[in-house]
Amino acid sequence: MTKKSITVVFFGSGPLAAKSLELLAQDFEIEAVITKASPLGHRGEVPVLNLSKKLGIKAFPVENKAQLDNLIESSHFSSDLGILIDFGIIVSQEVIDYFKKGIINSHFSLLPEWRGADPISFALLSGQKSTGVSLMLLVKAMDEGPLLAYSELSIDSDATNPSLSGELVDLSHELLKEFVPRYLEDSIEAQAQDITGREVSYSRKLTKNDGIIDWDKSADKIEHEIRAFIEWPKSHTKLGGIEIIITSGHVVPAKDTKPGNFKIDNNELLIDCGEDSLSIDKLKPSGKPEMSIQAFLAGYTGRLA
Amino acid sequence: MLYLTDKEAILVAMPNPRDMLITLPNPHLRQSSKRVGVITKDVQKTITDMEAAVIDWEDSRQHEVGVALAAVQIDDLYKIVIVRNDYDNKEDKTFKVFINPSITKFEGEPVADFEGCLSIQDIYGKVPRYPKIRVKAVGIDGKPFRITAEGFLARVLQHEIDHTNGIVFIDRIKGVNDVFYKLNEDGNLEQLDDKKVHNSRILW
Ligand SMILES: [Zn+2]
Repeated sequence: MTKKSITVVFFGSGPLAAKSLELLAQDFEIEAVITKASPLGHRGEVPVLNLSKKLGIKAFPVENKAQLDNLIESSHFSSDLGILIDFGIIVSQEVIDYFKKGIINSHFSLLPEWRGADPISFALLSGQKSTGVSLMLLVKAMDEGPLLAYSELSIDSDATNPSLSGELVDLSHELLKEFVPRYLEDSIEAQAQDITGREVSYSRKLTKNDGIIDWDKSADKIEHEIRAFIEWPKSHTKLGGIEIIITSGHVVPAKDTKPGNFKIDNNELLIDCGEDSLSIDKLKPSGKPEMSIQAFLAGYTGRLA
Repeated sequence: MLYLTDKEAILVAMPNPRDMLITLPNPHLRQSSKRVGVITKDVQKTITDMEAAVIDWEDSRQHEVGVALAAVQIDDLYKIVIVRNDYDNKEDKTFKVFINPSITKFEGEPVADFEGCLSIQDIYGKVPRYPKIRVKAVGIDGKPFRITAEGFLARVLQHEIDHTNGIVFIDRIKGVNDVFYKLNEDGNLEQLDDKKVHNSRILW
């Protein structure tokens, strides 16, 4: 016996969408890709568009909701299902209903935790021990759709945004591979989001200002920021007139701290925070490559005072 | 005049495994297959050929997955069926073997859905099948086993066990309107004209 390969339309824009598409194209036939013509915060890069060209998949760039509505109205797609990952454009009910089986969104958190635009960064910022991936049926209300499947992933204590993203993309692929066919066969039913046992919370897009370190925060919090912001906007500060990006650090318990004050002690650079101190492990002085704290102190100590 | 290099000549002489497949109107497809007595080397060879035929066929098809096959489809009229272990993953090229399979129980009300066949090129039909069945068979190791199959797997096994009894899927929907489709080059199913289907000399 034979069957038609599963055919889907893919909606996605950012680099995680591109990675996901590359994996999905091994399992499903991608009839078309719909992508944001200029994804926000990705500085002119169009990773999904570039990948579609490479894979020989028809791609339709759109700028906004209105253009998306027009595209769907004037196109003929035969797929019964859309898959949406990191798309960045609000999808109207008309677009969802165009597909007989709707649109599945792979969201990189255990919903209803971290709804919104950047669930990965916010999971890292919170210091929580685990997050996950949810396959949600898209509904009009943002990130409130019922779940077809979800899976938890523990967060390593040294996880960074790129390392955690990579693991979540792989997990998302595993879930889609297994559950899209079962959903199309009607052998699974969607469940309300409270099945995950997580609380409702909201993430947002990061801004450039998020990267400016506020030393009044606890060292623990700042250490989370360093790992969450490592690709962008990067945790940076001025140290004795030198602009640095901190790429790795660890918390050192301290009492009676003076936030922002620093001291050099035994090849260690300690900066006082609102609570405890942060010991810098790796950093990148403005215009220089990343270096260890030892290398930095050897070259810069004289200029810090 | 066309000259072949030695290498090309060898390639031409070696048929593709998919060329072992027989298609309608070959009358063997409407004959009942014989039970397998002992699992001999020949039976094992048949299974290897069947697997190769499905995989090679799939490589030649852009929009389809080869899900299962019955031995009659490579013109070996024995009750042997192979079913892909993971038909949603083209990379998984392993199969489960059912020798002398038969259905011991049907459950639920038949559900119509699409199926196609390696022996009927490009045609898909909406065939009613039971959503749950129990099957008994003998494994490649000669040991009897029973399974309960649901959903798509139940459909696949009903299709294949039909083959071992000389029934192809279109026989199950003969004369029915609005259930025959053609797979076009873009991978879409287009409904076929019922008159053309019913009057086809190839299909019936
Ligand atoms: Zn068949």
